Amino acid sequence: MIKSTKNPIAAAQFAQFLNSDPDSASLFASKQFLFPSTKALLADASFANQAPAFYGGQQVNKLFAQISDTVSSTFEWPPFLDEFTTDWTDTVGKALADKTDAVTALATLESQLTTYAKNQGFTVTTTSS
Amino acid sequence: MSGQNFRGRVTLARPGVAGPVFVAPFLVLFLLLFLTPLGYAAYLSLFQHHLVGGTTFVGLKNYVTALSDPLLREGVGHVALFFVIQVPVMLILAVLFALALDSGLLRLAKVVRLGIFLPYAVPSVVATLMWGYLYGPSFGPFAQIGRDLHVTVPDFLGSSWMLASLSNIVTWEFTGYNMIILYAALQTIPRELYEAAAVDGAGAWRIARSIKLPALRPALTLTLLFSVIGSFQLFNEPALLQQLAPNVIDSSYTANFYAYSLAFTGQQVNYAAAVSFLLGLVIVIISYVFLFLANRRRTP
Repeated sequence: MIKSTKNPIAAAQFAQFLNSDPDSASLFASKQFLFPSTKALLADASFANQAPAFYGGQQVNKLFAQISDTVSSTFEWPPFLDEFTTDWTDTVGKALADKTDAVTALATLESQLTTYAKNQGFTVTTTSS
Repeated sequence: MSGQNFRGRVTLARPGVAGPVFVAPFLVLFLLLFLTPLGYAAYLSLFQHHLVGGTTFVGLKNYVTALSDPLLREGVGHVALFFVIQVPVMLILAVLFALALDSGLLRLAKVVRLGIFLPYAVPSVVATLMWGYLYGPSFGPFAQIGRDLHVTVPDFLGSSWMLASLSNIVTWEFTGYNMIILYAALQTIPRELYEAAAVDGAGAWRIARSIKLPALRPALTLTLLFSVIGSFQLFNEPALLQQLAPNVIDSSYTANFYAYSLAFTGQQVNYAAAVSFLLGLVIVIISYVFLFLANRRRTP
């Protein structure tokens, strides 16, 4: 919730309902094509077995559900999301659309973000993984 | 006689007071709306704002960074290429239309003149949206007709065609505007010259080559100058087409667009100011070179 919200508790409750209610969550995923907000929906057969024509009839949701488990739950948003999204579109987004090397593009993205962060006075460290 | 002299002296004395008063509104607005923002931008370009650590004075460091910035070089390269391709096409078309209209041999000359000028009255945003729709690879009419006729239509929004597609939009928009300037210049040529040329046995083509084209030179220099500035400040068209082709037009596709992205997505206002000043410098240099060349050719 943003600071200036008049009724933060009610707003938080509403947001929670909107994203966790089975009907509402399934509408978001099937009508708005947002990523499912509940694990229940990800595991739901009716969702997982969908084969959208956009993806050439592949059961992409199954794959998405598997990948979802590998996403770190401790990641944090960068303090400069605007810059990140722009750089992402220019590098990785471009590589995905043009079907060129996404790994090289990721490296470019990393170096651009590192330069930006250093310019902004951040200390950049790499964590060994 | 003496009364007239007296009156003359009064009118001579007045401009001294009235002049500055009349000029003042202009000067005040010029100072507030033109020089102040310029001065402020110059001031900003000497600082650097950090998310961590606040604002510090860095002198000319932003300019040094900008000079070796590959993204800025890419943007300037794009607009320079755009300028080299688009401006000659547009100006040649404008000269041809102006000559055709001036020849008096065209039927419905007023309708034609208005028709060519009309695109200039269409806001560039609307023009770009319209052309963006026409270019569309799946929804555009060109692509649809091509599909029906089993002809491969080039991907107008692809990376190899984008600059040409942008040139086409700008040519469509500004040919009429340049034509009007050139046409007006043609109208100022004294008709006696044509009569004299006709007496000497010159035909319409000879008159066009020997009288009209030389007379167009100052107006052409002017349109060229406008085109230099317009090309290097290319912004609206790529900014709007980015929505249709985000993988082709990146945030540094043109120099002006890069400055915009720096200021409004990266919050690097100081660096953006430095980039803008460098771009302005490039425009001044190129404009000056063209003026110099045009003047040197006219003197001998």
